[in-house]
Amino acid sequence: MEFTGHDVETATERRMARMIIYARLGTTAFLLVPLASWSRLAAPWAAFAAAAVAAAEAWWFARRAWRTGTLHDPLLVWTDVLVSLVVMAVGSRAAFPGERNVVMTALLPFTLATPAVLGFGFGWSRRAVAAVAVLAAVWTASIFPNITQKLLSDLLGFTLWFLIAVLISGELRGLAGQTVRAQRLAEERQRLLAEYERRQESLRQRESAHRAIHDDLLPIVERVAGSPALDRPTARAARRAARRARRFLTDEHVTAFTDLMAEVVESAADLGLELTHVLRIRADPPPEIGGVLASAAREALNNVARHAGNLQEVHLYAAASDDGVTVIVRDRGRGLSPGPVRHGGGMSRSFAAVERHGGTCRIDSPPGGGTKVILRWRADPRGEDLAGERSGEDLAGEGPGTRGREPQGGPPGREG
Amino acid sequence: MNGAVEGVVGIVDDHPIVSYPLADALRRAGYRVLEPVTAVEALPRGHPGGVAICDYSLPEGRTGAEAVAHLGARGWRVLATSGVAGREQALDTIASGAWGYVEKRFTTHREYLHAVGVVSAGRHYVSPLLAAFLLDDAAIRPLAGTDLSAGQRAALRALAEGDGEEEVRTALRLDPAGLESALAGAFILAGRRRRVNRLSPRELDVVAQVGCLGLGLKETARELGIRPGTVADHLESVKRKYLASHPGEKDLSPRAAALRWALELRLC
Repeated sequence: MEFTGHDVETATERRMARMIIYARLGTTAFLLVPLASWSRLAAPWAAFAAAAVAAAEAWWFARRAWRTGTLHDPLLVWTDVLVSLVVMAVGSRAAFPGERNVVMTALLPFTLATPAVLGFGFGWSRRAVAAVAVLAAVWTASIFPNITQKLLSDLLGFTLWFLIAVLISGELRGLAGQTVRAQRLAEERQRLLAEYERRQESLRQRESAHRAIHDDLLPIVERVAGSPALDRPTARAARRAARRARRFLTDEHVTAFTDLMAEVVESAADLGLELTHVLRIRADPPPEIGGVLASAAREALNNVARHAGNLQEVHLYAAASDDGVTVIVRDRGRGLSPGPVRHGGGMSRSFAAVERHGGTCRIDSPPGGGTKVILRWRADPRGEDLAGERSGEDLAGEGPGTRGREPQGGPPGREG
Repeated sequence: MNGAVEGVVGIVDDHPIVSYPLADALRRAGYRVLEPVTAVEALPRGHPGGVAICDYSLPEGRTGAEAVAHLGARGWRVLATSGVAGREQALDTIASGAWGYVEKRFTTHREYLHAVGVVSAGRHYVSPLLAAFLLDDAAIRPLAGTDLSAGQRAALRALAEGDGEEEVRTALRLDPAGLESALAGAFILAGRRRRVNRLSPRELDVVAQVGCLGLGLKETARELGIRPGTVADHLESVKRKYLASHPGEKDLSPRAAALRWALELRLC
């Protein structure tokens, strides 16, 4: 049977309640002792009444405490205190004044159980200490005038039963608390272990799939994709299959803009360009912005294919964050005239669309030769031109404290 | 380079359809290329200035960053390569001493030839993608104190955008040694980022007590003879290092981080 933390504490309370129930019922039997000397008592019916009240209360006490399973019950505790006081007061009247010590000795076990009830029910508290003091006082008054040295022993009994009950209940409750904490630790550990094992199993399965794709499937698909003998649709399908396989192997997080730019990369292969690329997509731009930037990048690649001469090496760089987007198409071919894009040229339509959406387009002629087409769009046009700053942070965000999405890149036709 | 012996190149790759054509291309470029092997243990000790092209994922023997470290210890300048490694794997090879990282490609060997030339000349090779990896790594795991300088960031950014080394040098007014120094420094920082996220011996003790034995703060403190507050500090550090070295992990409790470390490091 498995206990929750709550169960352990409840069960401990119930056990403590039962201990006191047994003590309460057991000590009630002592009240029958004076009745055996019925003829020698001053008021035998008083002894009978005390025993009857005590028995009734003990029965009620046992039933209630058994049902609730706790001694944290003010009605239960105060009733027990009251009945003890009644038993002392009434029971003591059964004996002649000079023999009260004898009768009260029989009542003592019953009344000593009450400080224990107080200790278990109220613990170390003012009301409990006050109640014990009242019990001791009434006991002294009840036994008067038959005061002997035994009175000190009786009063010490009231005090010690209370203190022992406080200590025992504290120990048991502390033990229950420790058990609960240990259970919680064990449960957390169990949960984490189960989670770890699930992750390991998942990793094992992925590893197996990775191995099959990496070792057997991808090299063949890559070779097929790179074969010049293939017709264009088949080659494109093979490249797409290879891209999907690589994404699976690298756990690449794909956003809509990443997908869009990946299609631009695909289009370069159709154009016969040898494209390398770096995609640093942290946050997608609005779909219409992504669309026009991708179209412009595609157009720039078309332009490279048409004008860049025999040297068909091209590099595509795309960075996107919450600040904006930068797309750069860099070739090392014949090049175009540097400066802002002239409207009316071959790329004007798609570039004009970028500008209509608040972006900028620029063509540079780097010192190393070729052409560098730079497309930029800023989320906040009034913001700093972060994308182009060579000396500072960029849109792809190498800013400290920011979390980046892994760059995805590489040329088409690569292998694992 | 045709006809001129530039140096010795070793190739470790489990795919013959990759390694043999690459070996042929390098031989045509004038390199002395050893017979390709499929495990780093099969490659002989490195020749002075020799370059070993090492696939990241190897089914036999050492693999990944461990394979790179092994080759480096045997005297090779390692050029790591993979078609499927992500940022973490690529940078692990850099932290293990690789001189560069090249993405595998089937259609051309031009980048390999260029990278082998750069590395055999004693310089580090930074592809556009590796430049982006290095920049992003600096953003994800910023080092307290010294991190990438503005110049290093600018150089890496330009390389990621596709600029050539000469263009970068011109733009930043650097001589070849200056650029090499900047790039080599970026490689060292990538390694340092990984080292700072290793657990200290005391943190390992705490991880063993909390993660393996499930002890609480007080019990752990009693076992290790330190204050509970110190244990809590160690646990926070353990958590921070776990998150920093496992990008993509969501936030988790220090106890969970301790358990994950314990299992990952096989402390239990």
